[in-house]
Amino acid sequence: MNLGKIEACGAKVRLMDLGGTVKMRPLWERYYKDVHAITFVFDVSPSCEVSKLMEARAYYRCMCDDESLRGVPILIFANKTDTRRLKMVDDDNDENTSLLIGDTSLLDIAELFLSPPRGLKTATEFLGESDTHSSDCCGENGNISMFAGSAKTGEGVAPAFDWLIRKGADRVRQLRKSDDI
Amino acid sequence: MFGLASGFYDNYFVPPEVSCLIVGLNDAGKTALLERVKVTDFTVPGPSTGKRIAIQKDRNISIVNKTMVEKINENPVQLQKVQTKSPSRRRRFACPSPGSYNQLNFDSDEETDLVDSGGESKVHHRELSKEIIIELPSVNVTVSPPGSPNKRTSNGIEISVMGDNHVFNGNDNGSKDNNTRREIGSDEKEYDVKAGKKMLPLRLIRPTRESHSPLNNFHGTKFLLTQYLNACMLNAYFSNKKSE
Repeated sequence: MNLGKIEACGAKVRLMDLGGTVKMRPLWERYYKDVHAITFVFDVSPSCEVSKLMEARAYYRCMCDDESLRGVPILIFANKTDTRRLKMVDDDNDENTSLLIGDTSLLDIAELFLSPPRGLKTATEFLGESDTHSSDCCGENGNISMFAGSAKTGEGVAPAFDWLIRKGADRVRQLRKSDDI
Repeated sequence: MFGLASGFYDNYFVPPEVSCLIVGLNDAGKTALLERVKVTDFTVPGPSTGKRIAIQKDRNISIVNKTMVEKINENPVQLQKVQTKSPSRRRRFACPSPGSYNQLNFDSDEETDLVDSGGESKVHHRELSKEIIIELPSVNVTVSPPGSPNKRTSNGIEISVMGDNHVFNGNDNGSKDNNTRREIGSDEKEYDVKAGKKMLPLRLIRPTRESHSPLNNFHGTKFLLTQYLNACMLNAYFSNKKSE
């Protein structure tokens, strides 16, 4: 686990980065009780397989269903958008039978990812009309938001975490108030 | 009474401590994102206005470029050397990475790999942290002729860059040009970076492994060993098959 501490948006933020290998995934839920905000990162680079996206979606749904995460803001971050500008080079297509994301638009991916079994809105409502890198959060009380960006170039990271930290700070204040009462 | 009042005041205005979890599948870029957030500037006004931010950043970069160009014209040789080396970054691991990761050049701006020999490596690192912050004008680059035995001076450290042996004698007179020097190597445009900070190079970011066994976490020894054994066994298996 990697730790990071920053101060931003009038709050002290402690970031915990957990491992994502198959062995580590069951350990995520042990941390849910103690956190005020969650970031779910997934890969949208053209060379990523669709099966991986589906896997990520399955884990994301599991996470959403968790009871201890009620009221916790969740940031869904579509990473590696910088690779989407480059065009895919099609070589050895015969050997590679796996289905890749390719140049599927971010909106389609979001639709796929957020199409919910539960009573959430559809992705188009989530993201509005724009297919830009920084889409706005859903609704007024929306605790789930999807942003796209790239950790490599830093594109879209600031608005995403700005949103998350503000929501997380709100969450902390809420908890404090409920403790006081 | 004052203590009570100030206590209430502090309690009321204390910044909330948010603990945030980053999860995702493997290779999604979680650690890279963490490192990115560490160097991200959140004070830029107007979130979700990517265009405006980009324009501001463009201006910055162009200004930096101007100074860079001038400096390159002054003494091109030294700058070329500086481009290919950044030894002090060797110590900045997010967490210990296996040795194999250092060989992979994910970042084009950092080709330098220090060649340490076993037991001396710790000494090397200490020296690096103290002395290798090099001011541009005072760098003396001496290229030792090939085949000559390597010598280490009192404040110089041997560094092999792509097979050549250069001895850098560095005097740390402060690091005024750090920012401009860091900008030189980076080809890609970066967004919302704090002034004077740079993200950890991607080649030092390695998969976060489980930490049950100390072996697993330390330089990935166990992992590498098992991989190597697997590869050997596969090799033997296939060679047997071919011979049959």
